[in-house]
Amino acid sequence: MIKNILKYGLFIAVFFYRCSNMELAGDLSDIPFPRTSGIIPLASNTQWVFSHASYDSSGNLVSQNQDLDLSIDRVYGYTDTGLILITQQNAMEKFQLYVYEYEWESLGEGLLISYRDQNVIPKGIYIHGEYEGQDTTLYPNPILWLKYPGSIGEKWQKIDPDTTDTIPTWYEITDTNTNFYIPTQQNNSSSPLEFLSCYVYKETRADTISYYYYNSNYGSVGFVQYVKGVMRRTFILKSYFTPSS
Amino acid sequence: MKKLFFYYTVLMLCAASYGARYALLVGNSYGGAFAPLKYVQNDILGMRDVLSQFCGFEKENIVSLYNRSSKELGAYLNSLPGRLSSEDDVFLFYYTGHADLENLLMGNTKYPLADLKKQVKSYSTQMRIVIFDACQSGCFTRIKGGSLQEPFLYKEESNIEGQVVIYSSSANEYSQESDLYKNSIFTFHFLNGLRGCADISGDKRISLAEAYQYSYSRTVSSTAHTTGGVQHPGYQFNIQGEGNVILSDINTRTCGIILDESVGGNLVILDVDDNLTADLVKQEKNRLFIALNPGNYRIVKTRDDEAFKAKVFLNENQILPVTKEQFHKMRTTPVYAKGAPDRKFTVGVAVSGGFMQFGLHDLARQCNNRFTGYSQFTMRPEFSFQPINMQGGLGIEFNFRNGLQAYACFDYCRTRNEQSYNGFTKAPGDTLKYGVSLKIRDTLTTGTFTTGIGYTFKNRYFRFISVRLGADVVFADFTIGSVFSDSLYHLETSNSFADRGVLVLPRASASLRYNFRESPFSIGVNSGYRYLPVSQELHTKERIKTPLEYDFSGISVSAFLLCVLNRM
Repeated sequence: MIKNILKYGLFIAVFFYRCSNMELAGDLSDIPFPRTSGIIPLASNTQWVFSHASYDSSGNLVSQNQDLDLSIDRVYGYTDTGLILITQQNAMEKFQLYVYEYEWESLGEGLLISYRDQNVIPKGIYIHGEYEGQDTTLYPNPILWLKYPGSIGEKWQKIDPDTTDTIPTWYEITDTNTNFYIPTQQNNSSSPLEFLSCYVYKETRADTISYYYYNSNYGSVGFVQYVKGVMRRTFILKSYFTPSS
Repeated sequence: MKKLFFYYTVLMLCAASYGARYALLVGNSYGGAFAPLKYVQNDILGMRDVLSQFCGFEKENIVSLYNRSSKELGAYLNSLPGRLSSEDDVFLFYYTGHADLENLLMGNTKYPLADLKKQVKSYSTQMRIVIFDACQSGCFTRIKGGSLQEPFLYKEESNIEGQVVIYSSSANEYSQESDLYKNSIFTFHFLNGLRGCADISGDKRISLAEAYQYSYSRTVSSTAHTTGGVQHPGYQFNIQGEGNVILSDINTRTCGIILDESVGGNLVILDVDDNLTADLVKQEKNRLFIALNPGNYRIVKTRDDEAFKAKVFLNENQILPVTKEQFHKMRTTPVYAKGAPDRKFTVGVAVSGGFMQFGLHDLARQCNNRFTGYSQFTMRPEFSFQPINMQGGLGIEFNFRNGLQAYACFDYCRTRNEQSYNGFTKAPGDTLKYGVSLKIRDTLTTGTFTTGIGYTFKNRYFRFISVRLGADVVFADFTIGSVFSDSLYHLETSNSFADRGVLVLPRASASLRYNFRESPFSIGVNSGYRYLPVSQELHTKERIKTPLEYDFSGISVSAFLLCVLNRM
């Protein structure tokens, strides 16, 4: 009797052990997606949290210390025929380019972006499409978003494939080595701030001018937006997480 | 009443005359399980010399039994009646060593007191003098007694005539010996009395009564402040007849000093090897002859906290007067503790408070480097650690007789600094300035465990000067807490940093101390310097290097109050 209990117990234990291992194998966090260099370090399971403040049209503070979450959860392989979501089954397959979902979590919308530094001019972050909720729009061709590396004064237009949008969006590199600060990301640091060398991209769209601070180690670290010359939004990187490998 | 009886007895002894004098001097350094005594042999030799030189005992009539067994004592006592040739003879029995209630403890053997009484009683001499410098047991020091029980008294029936018993301590008291005197305390004073110090009448003849009276007062005085407790000698006189028992006659002495009427106070006489030859109190207006052997002597007189000394060079057959004018004020006062028990060391505990200097300019530089980025806000945080900080601590020290010292102490020190800065930042495409602020609080806490060895010198003014060498084990805890806020991004962020670990530094120090008379308390100041050639990381529990490097070199100065728990 005891012998049988031990035999079946051992069998059940082995069964559950195998099942749990199968579940782990299906977890995307275990898949070693490639990391990109560039002005935004793209890697799966990366998360940025920003502290956000907003102002009304008169410049009065409306809200502050609001958290904004930005994350990369899913990764696609780029092919000539389209994007293939990388799953457990094709995880080991090699792609010439990887495209990352760059999503504002609270808004449920985002961009599909990649860093292209080979066989392309100019090099930089390209947008492959955008999504909002369940609606995903893939662009016929990737369009340049953030040129990197670049020089101060370089200017380009982001050409939106949506023909209904007639307002042009212009980008300009206003600085390649400005000093910016964020709350220190290191434990046991004596200073509350960490100082970073940043690119500053100026985005102009009609009356709205936005400045983005990007650092090659953290990506987006700060943002200031003016509408008709009045500051309306700021955010600054509060915390950053990326898998260690 | 006791005193009246004593003087009555002395009067009754007047004009008595005696025949030959015999002495049996017995001493044993060992007594069963009790601690060995150091100066029993000195007692016996001193007694033999004084009896033969001043007291009319022929050398061949003095028998010394040192470290002999009870069997040998018994054999000698049995043989004595044949030697005592006349009823006019005087017999003196002297014992120094351990004893209990019923026995003299002689090594591993015991001699019953009852047998001794019986023997002495059986001698037909006119005068029998029995002197005991012992009490009934022993203890770890060389007190001649352990747990106090019934007093060691040589009790005798009152109808025995011609017998004097003198004992060194009374009920529930220890008999003690002293490293200072290098004798048993009572014996030392008794012998000095016979040398002349006890000559109250000034006739250069010291009676048994004078010798007892002198040794009584000096023994009480010498033991008043010892850890063994005050020791009161006692006596039993039972003598019929007229006249006095003159024990010592120094009229025939041709070598000695005469302290004239101008000399008064506490006097000690030291020989050329600084051995204490005599310790007495002399009143002015009296002359006092003290018989001494030829040689060089130093006489130290203390009065009203001042010390004076005179030097005497005695040749054969020379009697030198010593007057007040011969004494010169001493620059240093020797510390002669009267009746010092045999403590090998003292233990003291101390509380201290003072200032400690840290050489932390390098740490400040490292901290400043960590805040250079704030210059973009027109802020320049400057760390500056106070060079001098308050400290407080507790300590323990062991002072050995030979001057060596071992010590350990723990000092606590904490410094805290706060900095607050305001500056501004700018947004791209904007001419406005947005305010920023930075607050920094740093706290450095050190607990310093100091240990080492030292040496203590004696000094007239401070009594003691100690020099010490050792090591400081510094337990350091350094924290920086900082808060930054700005009005552009409405950012408010804080951070904290902590370094914890240990540094070891060599240390040299010196202390001056003044100890209050008749008190276990001392006060003093201690100054030390600890040295580290370069800043070092702290040694942490996890054996990793700390980010910052520290240098705790510097001077410390503290005042302390010391309480000695066991006085020498």
